[in-house]
Amino acid sequence: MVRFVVRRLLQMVIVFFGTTLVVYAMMFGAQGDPIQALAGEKPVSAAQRAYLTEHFHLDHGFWYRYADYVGGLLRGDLGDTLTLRPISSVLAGAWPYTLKLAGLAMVVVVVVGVGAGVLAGVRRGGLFDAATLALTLVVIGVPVVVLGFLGQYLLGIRLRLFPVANEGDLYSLILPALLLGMLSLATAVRLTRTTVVENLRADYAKTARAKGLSRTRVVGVHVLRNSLIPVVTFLGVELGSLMAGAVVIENIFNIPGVGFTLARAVRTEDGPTVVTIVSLLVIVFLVVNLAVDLLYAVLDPRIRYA
Amino acid sequence: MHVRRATARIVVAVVAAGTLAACTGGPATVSAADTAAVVSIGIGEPTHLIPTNTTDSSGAQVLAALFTPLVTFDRNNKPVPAQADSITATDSRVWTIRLKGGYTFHNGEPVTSDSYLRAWNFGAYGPNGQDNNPYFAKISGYAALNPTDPKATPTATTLSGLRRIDALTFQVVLSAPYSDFPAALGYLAFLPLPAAAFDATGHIARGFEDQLVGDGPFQMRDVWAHDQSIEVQRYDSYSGTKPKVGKIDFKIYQDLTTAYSDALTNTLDVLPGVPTPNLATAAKDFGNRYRHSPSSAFQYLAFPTYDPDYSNVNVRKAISMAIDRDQIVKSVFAGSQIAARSFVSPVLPGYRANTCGAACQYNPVAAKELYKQSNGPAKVQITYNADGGHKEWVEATCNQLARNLGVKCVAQAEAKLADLLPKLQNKTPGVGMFRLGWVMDYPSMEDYLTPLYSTGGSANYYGYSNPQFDQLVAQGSQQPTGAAAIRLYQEAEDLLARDMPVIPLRFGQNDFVYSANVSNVSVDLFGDVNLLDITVSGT
Amino acid sequence: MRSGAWRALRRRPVFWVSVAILVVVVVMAVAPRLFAGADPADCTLDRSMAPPSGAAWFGYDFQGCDVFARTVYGTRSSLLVGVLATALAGLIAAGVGMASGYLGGWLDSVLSRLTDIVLGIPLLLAAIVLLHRATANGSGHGIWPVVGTLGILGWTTAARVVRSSVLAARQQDYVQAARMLGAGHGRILVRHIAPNAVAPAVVVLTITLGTFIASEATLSFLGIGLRAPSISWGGDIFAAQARLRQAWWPLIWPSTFLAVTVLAFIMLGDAIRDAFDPRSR
Repeated sequence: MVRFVVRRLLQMVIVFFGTTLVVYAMMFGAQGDPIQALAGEKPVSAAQRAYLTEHFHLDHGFWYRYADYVGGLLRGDLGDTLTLRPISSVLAGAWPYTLKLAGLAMVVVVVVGVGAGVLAGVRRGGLFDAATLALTLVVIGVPVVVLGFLGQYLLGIRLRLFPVANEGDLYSLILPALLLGMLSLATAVRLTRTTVVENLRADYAKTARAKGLSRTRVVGVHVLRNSLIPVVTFLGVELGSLMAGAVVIENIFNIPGVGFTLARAVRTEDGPTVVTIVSLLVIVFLVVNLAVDLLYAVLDPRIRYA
Repeated sequence: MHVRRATARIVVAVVAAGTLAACTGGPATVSAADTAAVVSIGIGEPTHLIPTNTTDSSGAQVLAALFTPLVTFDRNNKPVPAQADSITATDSRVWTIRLKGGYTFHNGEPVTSDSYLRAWNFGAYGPNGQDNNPYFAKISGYAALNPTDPKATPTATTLSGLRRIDALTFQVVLSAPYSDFPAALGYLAFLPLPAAAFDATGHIARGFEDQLVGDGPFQMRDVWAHDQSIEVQRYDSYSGTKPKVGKIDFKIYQDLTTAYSDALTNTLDVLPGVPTPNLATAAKDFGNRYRHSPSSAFQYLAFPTYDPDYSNVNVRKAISMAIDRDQIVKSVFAGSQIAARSFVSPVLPGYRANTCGAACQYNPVAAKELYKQSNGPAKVQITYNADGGHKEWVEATCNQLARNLGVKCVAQAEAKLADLLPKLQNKTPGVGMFRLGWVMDYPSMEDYLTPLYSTGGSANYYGYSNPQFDQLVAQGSQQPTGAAAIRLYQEAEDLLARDMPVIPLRFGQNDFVYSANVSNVSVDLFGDVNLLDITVSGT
Repeated sequence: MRSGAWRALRRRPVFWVSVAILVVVVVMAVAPRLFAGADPADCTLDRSMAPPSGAAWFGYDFQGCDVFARTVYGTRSSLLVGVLATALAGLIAAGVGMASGYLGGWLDSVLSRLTDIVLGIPLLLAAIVLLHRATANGSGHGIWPVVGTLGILGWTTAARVVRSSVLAARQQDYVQAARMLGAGHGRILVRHIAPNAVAPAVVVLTITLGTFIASEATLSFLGIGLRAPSISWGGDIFAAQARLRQAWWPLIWPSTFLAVTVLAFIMLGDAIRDAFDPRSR
């Protein structure tokens, strides 16, 4: 097991650098005119153009700039954004918001999603099953932007239940977390339901019932454990995508988190910021996936890692 | 017992002192309620806050609170001295600026000629990379600080055209006479900076931009919380007119619609810009707390001169006649903008209505006839940037052209303007017409005519070039008086009506809404909320 | 086994309902004129936001276009994008997931890390770069850039799910038994492993289909989606939600069509999965 973990950690390092290279290449390839993109509609002064070109080595080739970037990373210097703020302080301000938002959303998805999925699977064909199907449809049929604005309008303005925009406290993050988790919730419900249904029909479940074990024990201990494997995979993946995918929600609710910062950096072709944020996000994915794989071994003793 | 009596006496003393202090506040009476209340104003995240580097409207709004400009503008949009005592010249070329005494920066440092010279030299020096650097180009000696080869070192670090006379007087020598110079001085590029802004090497001191020290009616209460807010409070030692509110929070929003929702729930006090889709319901939502004021915004359609499809001036005029500007203003903008029939904004001295003439009057029948006669293309395209909220009106315009001219019209989105510009530079075919906008830096016709229409103008992305026009504008800016200059500018504008290089569409207004918590809200020509007049309701 | 599955499928009403809906949708995509008489490009501000009436069953949108006509004509682009992108993503996911789960070892490590990299790259960023390149010369190649972008970026979740199912299935007794009986890898994969991996993958992919159609809307919103003058549900939904308080009909109809189509795919997916499951017969 230890060898497995160590090997994965080593692979993480390779993936990290691989990603920085790929993303850097993508930003490089996307270059229209990053300096003009920064300025928006007004023309950029020749002096500022010269200054930024010098500061970011914009007139040098790809490999020079990539080497420069990696060198800075290794020294712990994350560089500056195109507006000359240190990226490290930008991220330090943004991460806490996104972590709280994604964390809350994850809690909703796990508790409500898996719970509802189990119920729907156990009571297959019932009213609850139909209700979850309907919910899934609403969530898929309506893009997250529309859901976000609708939710904000109905619950924030009409019913005044939640604040419309972020006010720095945890309460104002609840509505955005709910909306953020909605699509993941729908998928989690359906996935859990499907695997629960499958496992309920499996021989071992029938045997357990025949042996006289109560239905609760059969479901809660045996079926659940096996059903959770694909679900855990899915959830592990979703946590990471929740963070980057929070762009729209962060925008609508005025939460200055990582997703919003990333979207703005992409829009203004702020290469250094984009690459740094994406690289850090990839590390988060890798760590989460490692945790998920380790969790497999706990859930299903038949799965062994050399 | 003793302690209690002593405490009581102290309390009485404190209350008495407090009341006394409150009473002796100065001409604008300061009540306790005022000092506690915070007025919140919605802005976007400024890119920079150093005046010589600030070009966006959010930054400009914050600087309007923190600094006092040399001139402000009266009801006719003519410059009047503010921090300057007088600005005079005999030949529109050598200007003597005298400052009012008694102004100090928020750290106690007095405002002197050096405060201005220091800041202007910093902004004009090429290697400092300030975005407002071009505004110093009119001052003599600029070329020495900005060599044409960006890698070469400039031969000087200060402008030779700036001369200090004494602590409160300095002289500015321009490289050519420019009668509108006093108006230009109202632009934020010309604001002063304290000595504390710079470090030993002459660069901006670390951390200064996050906690600016200015000379205006408000000072920063806390550091700039990026993407969240900038908080300011009244500067009590201010020598000019004091504001009526004690504290202002500039709340930073990523999305204007969210800011609008916050204003609706009275969580945000003032929003100086209503998103277009909300214009239709703004009157119902806010009643008489939804207002307009004149602004200098100008929206137009440009034709790339390299595209042969539009090279015939009659084709361009036909297209202009086929657009029903009034319908778009009514349906898309709920009447909050004004149809444009001239080439410069109505807020400028020298503006005349309808300079465009028949070509800007809606006449679908004549348009179709003219279009057919001049062999207009069967398929037209309007390109626009998707990130500016323009989709609705561009599509509506396209539909009008399709119906009225019998052509196929495509409204093509580019992700942002920066994606369109290289295509124009490379003369890529198929771009069609494209949408552009302009907002003034200061109220002068020259501030439109030069960047938009002169050969090589900074915003002339379409390549229009008319030597006669260039000459008229150059002559105009060198006139000794504003009136003489305007006469020549107007002649130049008449040439535009003849050549039709762009189609004027609309003039913008400032649309703003405010909550029930504030009163006396107004927005000036630059789109900035008037911070001196605003009050908290009920006081 | 296949004939058994087909028989099981035919017996389910859910299967027929979903097929019926999809047939209607496909016909709408192929021959929109059969359904909508009005021209979706005939728009004028005179009729802006006019409510549903005899002339226009779904009313008019903000630009004054017939909502019913636009929704019907939008079926083609939306459907094509969703189906093709999902097919592409599914192919990649199946290949990567099965190779990864079944063969294990260093190949599993490499493919898993590749999955991590693709997952880590935000959809927005990659989409902007890929689509920027595709449309740099001003000529869009129709829907292929968008299909390709979504497919290349959207296979990761399904691949991970396939991999985990294959991993679990590989350990099953009957698989070990088949190995001992001398069955080759290919046969085991197709006959024993794949059917187990199909079920959760189908569930994820049917939902992915919906999100692809919605993602197309986000891309249109950013100006890098389907180029004008193509009509799509996603684009119309986005345009309508900004003015929701003025009129609900421009939003509700494309959303309903989208939801119904996705429902049909999900029901179909459910039915297929149930039919293939040897334990449910």
